Amino acid sequence: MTDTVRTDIGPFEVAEFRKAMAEAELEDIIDELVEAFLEDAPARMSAIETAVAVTAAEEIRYAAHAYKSSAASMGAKQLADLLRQLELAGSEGDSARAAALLPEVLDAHESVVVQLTEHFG
Amino acid sequence: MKILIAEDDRVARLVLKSSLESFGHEVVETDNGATAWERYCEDHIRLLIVDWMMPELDGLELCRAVRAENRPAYTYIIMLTVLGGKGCYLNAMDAGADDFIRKPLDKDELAARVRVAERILGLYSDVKELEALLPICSYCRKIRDPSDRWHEIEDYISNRTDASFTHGICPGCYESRIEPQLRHFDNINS
Repeated sequence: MTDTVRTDIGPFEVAEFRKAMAEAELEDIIDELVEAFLEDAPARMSAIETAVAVTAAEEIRYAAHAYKSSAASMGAKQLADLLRQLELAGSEGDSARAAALLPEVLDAHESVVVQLTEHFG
Repeated sequence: MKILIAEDDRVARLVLKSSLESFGHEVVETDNGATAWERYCEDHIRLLIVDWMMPELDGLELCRAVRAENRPAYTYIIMLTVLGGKGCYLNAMDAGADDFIRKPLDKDELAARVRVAERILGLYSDVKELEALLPICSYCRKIRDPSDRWHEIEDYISNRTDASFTHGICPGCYESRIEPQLRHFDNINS
């Protein structure tokens, strides 16, 4: 089973993130959340790149799943959705599809990290 | 109430912990299944919220370990997952999970699920209390509750179960109490 990129999910926006945190009454921990995300995200992304490079499907699945949890919790829906597809490719042993998805995942990851660093760094 | 959470992702754990604390709960946080199991063994925590995929001991293994422990006081387990599908659901239920919450967390849904857990744990405690030895007055047959208040036995049971009472007279009481009264009335009338 393959999956396509969802076009209905827009890129991460800090304003939406702030709004979602306010709605969940979690404004108090925004700085702490961003700090945790920015500290962990590079290692999460690096683990994915390594797994894709060595075409280790199970590791791709696990690494994508681990980062997806962080991304989803931050409201980075596009990144989380791409990671979901990467996880699916890993669970199906489709390393070629995982490799094809990687550039998009990297772009989405960079976008989230840059925006959070600019606004909170 | 005290809640043990096991979540390896720092961001998701922070959201979960802050949400639970905002509801007034005390949170014991762990970042893997093995540490969660150690904390569970050290403490009388009755509500666990555990991630599915974790290093060392995953959520399913933790569920199985808790169920194998079989503590007298029931432990309620909520699985936290982004996984979906019937297979995952059945695996978790077989392992001993009671409920699920999907990630990313919806705070209102989390509050509702925790309320259900508290309700079920409360009912379970009531049932265990009924199953246990009940202190009863040897003379008036009232029952003492854990708060040292005394209740009529009908009220005590009716308030804690779905049971209700219909009143009758057993053969022993008929013989010892009713028949003497009937004989007394017969004597008066004759």
